Amino acid sequence: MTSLLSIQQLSLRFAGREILNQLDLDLHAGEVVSVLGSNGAGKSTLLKSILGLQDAAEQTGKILIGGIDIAQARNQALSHLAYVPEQPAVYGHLSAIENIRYFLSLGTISQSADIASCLTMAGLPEPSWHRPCSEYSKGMKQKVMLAFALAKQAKLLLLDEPNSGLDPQATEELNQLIVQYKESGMGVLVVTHDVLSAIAFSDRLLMLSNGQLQPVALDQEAFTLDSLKKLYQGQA
Amino acid sequence: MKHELTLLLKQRSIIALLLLSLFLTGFSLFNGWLNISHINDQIKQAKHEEILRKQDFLVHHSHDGTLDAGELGYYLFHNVYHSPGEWSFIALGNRLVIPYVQRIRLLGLQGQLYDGESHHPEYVMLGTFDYAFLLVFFAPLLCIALMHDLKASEQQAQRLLFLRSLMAEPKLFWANRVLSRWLLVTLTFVLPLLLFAAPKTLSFVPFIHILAITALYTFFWSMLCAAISLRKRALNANFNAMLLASIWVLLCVVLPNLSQLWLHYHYPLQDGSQIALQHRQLVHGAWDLPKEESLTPFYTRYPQWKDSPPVTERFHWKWYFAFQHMADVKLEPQVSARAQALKQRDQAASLLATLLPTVWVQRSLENIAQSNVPELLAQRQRIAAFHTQLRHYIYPYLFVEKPFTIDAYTHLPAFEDTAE
Amino acid sequence: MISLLWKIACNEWRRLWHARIPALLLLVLMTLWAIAALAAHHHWQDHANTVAEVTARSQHDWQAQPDRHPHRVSHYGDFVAKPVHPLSVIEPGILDQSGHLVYLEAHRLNSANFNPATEATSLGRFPLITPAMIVQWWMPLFLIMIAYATVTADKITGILAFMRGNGTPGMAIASGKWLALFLPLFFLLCLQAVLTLAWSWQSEQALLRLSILVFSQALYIAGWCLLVVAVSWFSKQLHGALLTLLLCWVCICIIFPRGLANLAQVSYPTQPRAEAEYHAELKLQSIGDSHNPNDPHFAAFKENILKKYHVSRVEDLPVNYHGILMQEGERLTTAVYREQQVLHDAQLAKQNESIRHWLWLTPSLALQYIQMASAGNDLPHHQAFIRQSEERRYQLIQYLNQIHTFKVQQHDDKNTRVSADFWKNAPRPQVNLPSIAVSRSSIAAGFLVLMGWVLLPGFLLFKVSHRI
Repeated sequence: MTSLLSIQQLSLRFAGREILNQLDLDLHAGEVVSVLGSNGAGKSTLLKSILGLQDAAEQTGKILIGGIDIAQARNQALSHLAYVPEQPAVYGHLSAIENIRYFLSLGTISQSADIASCLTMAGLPEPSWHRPCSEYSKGMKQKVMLAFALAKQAKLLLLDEPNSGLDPQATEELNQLIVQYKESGMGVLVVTHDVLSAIAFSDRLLMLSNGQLQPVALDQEAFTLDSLKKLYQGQA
Repeated sequence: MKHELTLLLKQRSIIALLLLSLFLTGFSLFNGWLNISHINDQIKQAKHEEILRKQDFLVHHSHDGTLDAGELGYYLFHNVYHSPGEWSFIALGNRLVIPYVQRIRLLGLQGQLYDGESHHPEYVMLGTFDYAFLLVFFAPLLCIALMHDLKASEQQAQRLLFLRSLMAEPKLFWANRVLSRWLLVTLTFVLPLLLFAAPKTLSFVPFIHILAITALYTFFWSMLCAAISLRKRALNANFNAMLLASIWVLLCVVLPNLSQLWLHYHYPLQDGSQIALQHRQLVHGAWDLPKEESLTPFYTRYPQWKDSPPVTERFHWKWYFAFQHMADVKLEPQVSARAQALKQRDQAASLLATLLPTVWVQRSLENIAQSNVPELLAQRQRIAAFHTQLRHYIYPYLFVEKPFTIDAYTHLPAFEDTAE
Repeated sequence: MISLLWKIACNEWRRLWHARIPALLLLVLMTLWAIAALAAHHHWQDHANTVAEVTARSQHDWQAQPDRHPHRVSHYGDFVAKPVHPLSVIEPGILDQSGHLVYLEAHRLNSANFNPATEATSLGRFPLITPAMIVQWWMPLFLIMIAYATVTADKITGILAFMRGNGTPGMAIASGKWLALFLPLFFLLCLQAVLTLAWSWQSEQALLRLSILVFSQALYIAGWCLLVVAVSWFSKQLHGALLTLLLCWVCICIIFPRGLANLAQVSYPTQPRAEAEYHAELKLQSIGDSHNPNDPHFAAFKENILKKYHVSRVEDLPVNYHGILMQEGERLTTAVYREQQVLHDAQLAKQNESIRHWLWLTPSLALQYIQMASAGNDLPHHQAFIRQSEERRYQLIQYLNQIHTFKVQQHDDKNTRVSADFWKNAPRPQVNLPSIAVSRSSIAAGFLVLMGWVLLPGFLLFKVSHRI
């Protein structure tokens, strides 16, 4: 079985500083992987690399999405992927449906799923579909973005800090949604600070430090504040 | 493109801005049209009055079926008209200060040519609110308002990275954004123009011309805004806005002003009133000179009247009109030098127009509207030609004292209006 | 309280200085100002030279006249150039549009009707940069660009909430920020005024005109500073503040003044010159024709004169009847032409009135009225000049007609030459710049609008400064 996301020997230097150092990662369908890391560890850089937005001169290594090299066929590779930024990127003056329709018009997406059913699946209540998004809460906006990922029929979901700024209930809903996506056969890569949530929905937990990903073996029961501190300090 | 347009048109502030622009364009066209139709009405009325006046003259001045050619030359005014062109309402230019109805008699032309039109000087100073003004000044501001933060606004909403992950072809994406905005800006100018021109069945070629100028000019500003707001580190919308506003000030005010200063310095121009003044001095000087001093040079120019009866009395009309004309002749070098200087200024302005898009638009529109310096010079030439025609018509009656019959009166040359 | 305001103002200056761009913009503004002053000075000097030249030449030509028949002299005519106040360097006003030379001659009304605007190229359609324009247009624009963020930025970074939370009253912050913006600009205005005063202190009413000018400019700029702070306080986003202010500027400075002027022109159009002349002629014809022996008016006039001198024939009069006739004719034509002028002035007044109704829309135009009035380049000054020169014309021509009446023998009228000494002593009173009092109504209207312009944004700021 080929992996949805495969990063091989990825190194990246920026302004003379080594940010990523021979990093490897494999992510399969039906798997949720969370990447932790302290501020400045290179999480955003890693995301930009996966999105193919880094300067080719600064970067060595290989990134395959759905088996396609992003450096060679970026558009084709990206059509398998949906990226959900930390701040939901919806246009406030458009409704949920209009937003998704607009985003779909930008890419080279040939086929897309029915938007209404995607919104239903993402758990956005139907009465709000046609209201401008500026009236939504952050959790609702997040759901619009996730519905878009479904509409795009992406196999790989890239989530950047999905829980930041959400209240406990919205966080809980989101966590369930991620599990749901995973069960439908998607691969999910989450970059987050929220260790508790990460433990809740992840199959694997990785710590980004010194430009490499280290597996973290932690289960919820053994998790304490002390161990968390150690976890972050150890790599600092 | 369709999606970009819906994205734009769902924004209330953008709709408000576009409506404002539509309204202003409509107002500018309407205002230009009212001004021009006022001029046309006045010309029409003046034409009507001229007919009455000429009939009236005949009643008052004819004796036994003939008229005195000298009296006719002195007392009869002929109207000359500066009729607006079909598209003059686009750019009023000089139209409001150049007399659109002028009265010319057989006296020396240079003493009659330089009167301005009566108007409210304060309002002429404030400038006209026509399509050209709105396009030159307001269209760039509209472009700046819509396009100064293309990248920065997405960055500020933390949407840039997401959008970049979606774009198949970033250049195409941004081009779409810029072009959709350009299209809207252009439409706010073109649509009112179209709606305004269509029911009036104005000629088509100038319309296409104006359309092209409008589209090119808005395109220039769109490109400028795009270049500044899409550069690599263009993430500070306020800096972009300030930079673009500064360019606007530079192109719309500072550079045209400096060019004008340079132009006036480089091609100095004698005040027109000076010509009128010198003409008067020449005419009045002639009264005190022996009659031969005026008549001899006149006869060398018009040998056909050389052998006409000599002037023996204290006063004779033929002497009077001869020295009037000789004053024109003496001033001819100065007059043509003046016209030359005006032409040079105009040419220099056209050269500057190739460098400054704002000046280019203003000039091109004024050329279409025929309200620029070349048109003024052409009008002066038309008046001069008419004056010559008039002189040549009356001279036989004046010099060989042919009786000026009523029939001759009805065949007096009339100024040919360019609009007809 | 005062020290608190100072602290806020000083802090604002430090912030502006640190941001670099505002300082740079201020520099650009000063450069523009310098260019404007140079250009305006050049323009003024050109004009002053023309005036001096024309005055000298017409004086010389007049004095150099030989012995002549007085009626020839009255047609030879006299030239008057419009006197310009040195403050024209700040605001040339209608100098280019109004015409500045008047030719005075017998039985003709020659208004100042040549104007350079007729022959301007397309470049002439762009607004002129003058020091007055700098204050009227560019100072507010640069102010907006420098200071649109003054409160909005503090709002976004939370500094405003922090300050309010720690007990600084909103009004103190608002006043401090306003002071920080207004004082430097006010200083520049005063600097301009002092420099101008040093240069032109000898001119008429220099102090009065200049203080009116500075006061109006200060009010105008104060209003803009208030508006900038108020809008900045009101806005939630930086570019929202910037765009709102820019829109205000475009409307107040560019669109409304032009729009109003054009509306006035369209709704109350002036009569074309040719038509006015024709109507005057018609009126003259209806009054009487001195050449026509059967004309009722002049027949009665002749009767009167004969009765006055107790003679029965014109030939027996002790004075020259032609001269008397000329005097009467001049009286009549002058009356008609002056009536025509009054009519024209009434048309302009009507346009003015329609603008005055809407002047409150644009303080920029209100300021321009005051600036033009104090520089002596507005319509009332121009009309006063036309009246003065017309007065001079009438006096001069009637003086010549008197000479015609009393010094020229009737029987040898056409051959008589009168001594040139008479021309040298002719009444040719100097045409002076009228007092600023002629424009008091436009100054009053302007100040009224400017007061409102300060009060309205001031009230707005007062209201909005309670928010965080």
